[in-house]
Amino acid sequence: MKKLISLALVAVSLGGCAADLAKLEQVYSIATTATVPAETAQIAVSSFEVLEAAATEYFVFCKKQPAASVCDPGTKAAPGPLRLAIKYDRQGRAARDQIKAAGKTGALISSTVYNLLISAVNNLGSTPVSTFGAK
Amino acid sequence: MEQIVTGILIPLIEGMLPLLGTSTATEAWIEQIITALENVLPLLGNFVPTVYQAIKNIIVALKADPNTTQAQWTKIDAIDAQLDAANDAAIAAVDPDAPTTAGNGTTAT
Repeated sequence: MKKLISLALVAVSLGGCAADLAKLEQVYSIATTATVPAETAQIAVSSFEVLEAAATEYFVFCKKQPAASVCDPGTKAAPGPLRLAIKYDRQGRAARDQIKAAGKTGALISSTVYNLLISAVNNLGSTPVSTFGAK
Repeated sequence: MEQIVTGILIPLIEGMLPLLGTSTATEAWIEQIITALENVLPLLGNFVPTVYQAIKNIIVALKADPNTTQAQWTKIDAIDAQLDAANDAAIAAVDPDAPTTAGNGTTAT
């Protein structure tokens, strides 16, 4: 608790306002080259993680309000928003994890993986997830 | 504790973010923020989803700062993993296609 309070005091003395991270959340283009620069991929990763946070809030909401229309699971054949959000969330996390692993080793980032992440970001943004979390 | 975190601590950390990189003390500030997050997360338990977005935003900002050291990156990744676990748990709670444990102890598909 002492650490929390000391940090709080430091922050109070510094002031300032929150970064405009919502700008990260936007639609990105599919890469047409074989690999993409790490910096480009990192922006997509950050965008996905903002959406992932919103997705977590969405899933928690659906646990509490399963009858809400935005939480309709649909069927496997005709998935509703809930199933789609789960699918895109997992797709994005898998791609993000691969990009992060490549980033740590300095390996080139495959445009296939990058495009999967972009697809997940764009698709997740088209689900009710985009209405959850800080915008 | 929850009120302290959401009402005081998180907003204060967010307030510090724009100042990272503006001082030679930036690396120390980053360390303080990481330490605060490390100390707070275990105390939050099921409350994590509520502060998930804010903490993710902080993590993104810290990783974007060139003053963040490799050791700090490792710590941030560990915090990140805890948030991923919260995402996993949230999905598992609502996934209509999640495997269910059958009465004979096997997992149905």
